[in-house]
Amino acid sequence: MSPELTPGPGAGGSLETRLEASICGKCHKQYVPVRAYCSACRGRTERIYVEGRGKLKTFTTLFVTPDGFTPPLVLGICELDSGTRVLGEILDYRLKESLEIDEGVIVSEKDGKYLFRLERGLSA
Amino acid sequence: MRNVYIRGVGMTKFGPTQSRLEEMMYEAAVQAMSDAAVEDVDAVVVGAMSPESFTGESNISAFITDYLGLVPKPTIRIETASSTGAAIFDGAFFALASGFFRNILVLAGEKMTTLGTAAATRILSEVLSPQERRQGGTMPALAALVCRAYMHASGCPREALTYVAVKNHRNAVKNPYAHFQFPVDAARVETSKVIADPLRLYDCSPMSDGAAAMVMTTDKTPIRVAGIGHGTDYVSLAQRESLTSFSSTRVAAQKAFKLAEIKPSKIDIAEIHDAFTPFELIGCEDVGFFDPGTSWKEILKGETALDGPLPVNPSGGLKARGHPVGASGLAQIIEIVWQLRGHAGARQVGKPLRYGLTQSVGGMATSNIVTILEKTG
Repeated sequence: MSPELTPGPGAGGSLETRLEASICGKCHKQYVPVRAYCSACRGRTERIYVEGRGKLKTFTTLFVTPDGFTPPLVLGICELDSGTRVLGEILDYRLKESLEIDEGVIVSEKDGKYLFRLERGLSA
Repeated sequence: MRNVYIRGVGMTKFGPTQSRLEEMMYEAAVQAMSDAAVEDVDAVVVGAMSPESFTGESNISAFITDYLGLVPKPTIRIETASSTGAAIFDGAFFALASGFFRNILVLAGEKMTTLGTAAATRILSEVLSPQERRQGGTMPALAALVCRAYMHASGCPREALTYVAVKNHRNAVKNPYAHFQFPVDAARVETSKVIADPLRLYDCSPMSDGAAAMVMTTDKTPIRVAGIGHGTDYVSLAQRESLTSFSSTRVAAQKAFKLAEIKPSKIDIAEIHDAFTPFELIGCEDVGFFDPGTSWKEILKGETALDGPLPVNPSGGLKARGHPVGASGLAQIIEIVWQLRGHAGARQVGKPLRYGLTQSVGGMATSNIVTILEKTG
């Protein structure tokens, strides 16, 4: 992620939890992943960063996966504190049996994929 | 705007077959034209989701029209992923309502079983957002994410999903066109392989071959198209307004009921897009049959059973009639035609029927279509 990006509304200072995003110049709707034009108003967007922190809204474990993935693959949707939702992979493998809707998640991006770590797993 | 009617219908038996796509479409089209008692039509509207990927064929509308012996009639293809069969009906409806055409042949089909399940699953996942696919997202994976969010928000138990699968298999036993003509019990559903939890194998519709055809007309017949509506949603599931309801269905239903000038309580029978069992519950709420989050209670009471007050998926649905993706939307409408005419055989609903509704889901609910048919004669 390029260091000169400006913070989005409410984005904190920690480099570890920064997530690249887009914000519409006209209606201020935010997007993760980035996109060039706003799907709400067709306005041009600008690159910002937001806090990669939010709540898990739903999840599933895939036992039948597409080519290039090994089951079980755990996917979820996180609602970031900034309001945008993003689909990603839940990494804390040992905790997947006890996942709960609305639990805290830290989101990072690597090679075009979003990776979720559970907040409760970070201190364990 | 002219009134639009249904003149004749035809369908192949759904399920794996040795027949090629054009052969299935021919069989359905000949039946529909015979049922309609027409030798000729003014135009042909063809639907197929991915013949390019499934069988390596493109330019499918000219190919099919040639195969049917209908050169030089104008022909186009319409594609909206898994609602394609309803989208061709939508397109033909407005072409006829404009007054420019009198009879249009609409026909849809898909040949899915040639490549095997893994390749077909990959082809079906091509309709998803690029980022969600890159994460390993598949159609069942995204349906499972919706299912868990819905169950959490509504309190819907596993039992309601099972009920949908058992009901739709039971109906399909009586449907000679169905892919699966065998019953399943709750234990079989609930011990089937987990695909993407909470969805098991018997929560998912199968890969099927099949074709469906219809002659639509501006000449008066006993079956009128009373309403139609079409809505679109953002391709990324995560970026939707709701994870427990499909706004594209809501938009489509509102338009269809407005055009028909009736309320959802007037509907006597429905075919709802149950590609995954939770979609039948959500679909019944989104078209306005039941309040948000309450479908599962109504369904467990037997409200949507074949002998209930509002039979849903008398055909067996996508779940058990089968799901040749391009054809399912039209097959749903054909089932309503058969039911309104009293031609549905062993699965004929006993009570008097006037209004029937279909709801078709394109992709992960990106292009949803609702139709309302009325028996006028």
